[in-house]
Amino acid sequence: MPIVDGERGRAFDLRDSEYEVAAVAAAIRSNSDDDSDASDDSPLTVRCPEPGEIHDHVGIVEPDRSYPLQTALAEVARVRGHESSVDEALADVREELAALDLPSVSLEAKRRQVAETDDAAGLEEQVATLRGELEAAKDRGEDPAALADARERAVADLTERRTERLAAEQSLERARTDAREARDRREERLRLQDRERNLERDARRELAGELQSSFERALSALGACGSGAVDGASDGYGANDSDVVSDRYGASDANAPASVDGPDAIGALAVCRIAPISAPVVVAGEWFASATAAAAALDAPVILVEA
Amino acid sequence: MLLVVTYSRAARQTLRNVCNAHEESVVRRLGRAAMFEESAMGAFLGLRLREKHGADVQLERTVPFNEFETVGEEVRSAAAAYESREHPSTPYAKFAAGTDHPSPDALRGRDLTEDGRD
Repeated sequence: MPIVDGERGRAFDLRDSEYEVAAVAAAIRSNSDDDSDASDDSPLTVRCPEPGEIHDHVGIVEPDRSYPLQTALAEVARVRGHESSVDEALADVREELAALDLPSVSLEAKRRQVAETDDAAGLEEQVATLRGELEAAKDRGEDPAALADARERAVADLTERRTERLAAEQSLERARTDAREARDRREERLRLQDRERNLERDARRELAGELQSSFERALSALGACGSGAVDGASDGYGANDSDVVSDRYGASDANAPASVDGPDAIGALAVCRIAPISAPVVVAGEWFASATAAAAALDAPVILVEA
Repeated sequence: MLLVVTYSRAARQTLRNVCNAHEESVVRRLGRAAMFEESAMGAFLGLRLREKHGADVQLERTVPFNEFETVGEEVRSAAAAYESREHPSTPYAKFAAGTDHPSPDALRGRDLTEDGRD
């Protein structure tokens, strides 16, 4: 089994091998799970430290993929010890969410009960029929005792059924009232979840914003690498004039930190450059002339693969 | 119509998906709630949502509102009169005091009827 040994080097070039991005990425990830089990079905073994969250976000660089650059940049900021102004509010919301007790709501049994006791109409009809028959029997001068008994039984049944139905309806009504409170609680959870998400977004934006200038410098530096290391002719993005490259790869909007004019992938490379990454970054595409140049530019271990 | 209200992010998302996929059965979308047409298809969609998200989905059946059947003249004219009041800041309780308009307590204590008689 071929082995890429991260302990023996930081720059590996697999572009002439059969290994594709997915296989290499899987090898890096499975390496961290469980050595014994992963080496069995994976065609390749990569010895390296366990990839972290930043690597998960931007560690596999392919030309046409989109990347959660802001999330990744915010993560880098966290690793560097930055905090956001909403961290406390976020912790509070999460605490509230964790403490929320959610009673369940299930009225199904009670709805069914009401539906099933709904046969009073049939009994009413029976009572009416018996009354008619009883009167007819009296008119004919027959002994009405048997019919009178039957009618009495039907009336008793009807009364009982009406009582049952009423009880079932009342029980459902009470359960509905209780359910309102349970749903209030669920509504509160939804409100907290939405607030949590908004705060997370605010925190990400703020944290990513703190690294905006580092990010821009990284983009420029990667553009500058283009004059030597990035293969200028490949797909129209690179160029041999470093100024042109850095222009094209400028950060695009100060209000949306970590956005990039150009392919997302160049942004991912820029995040890799400023992030502390110890698992190898997998780079597909002709961004760099050599694995060594890539490792130097990204300041991280690198495996180059064919795009 | 059938009223579907969702109480979690996941249920809300499924409701959105269902609404997008079945526009013909959706009468109105109201954020995390929607009104489905009163058909077996509407019921099927609602039941599917509840099957998937349990207590995070509430299903109700609505009844058309006819104010000429369900509330008395007194209530209708009180609403009209209050909306054309002189001072927008007057609360209803104060507005109704000393007039023939029902008090807020009287309104709260009165159920809707089927024939419009109080």
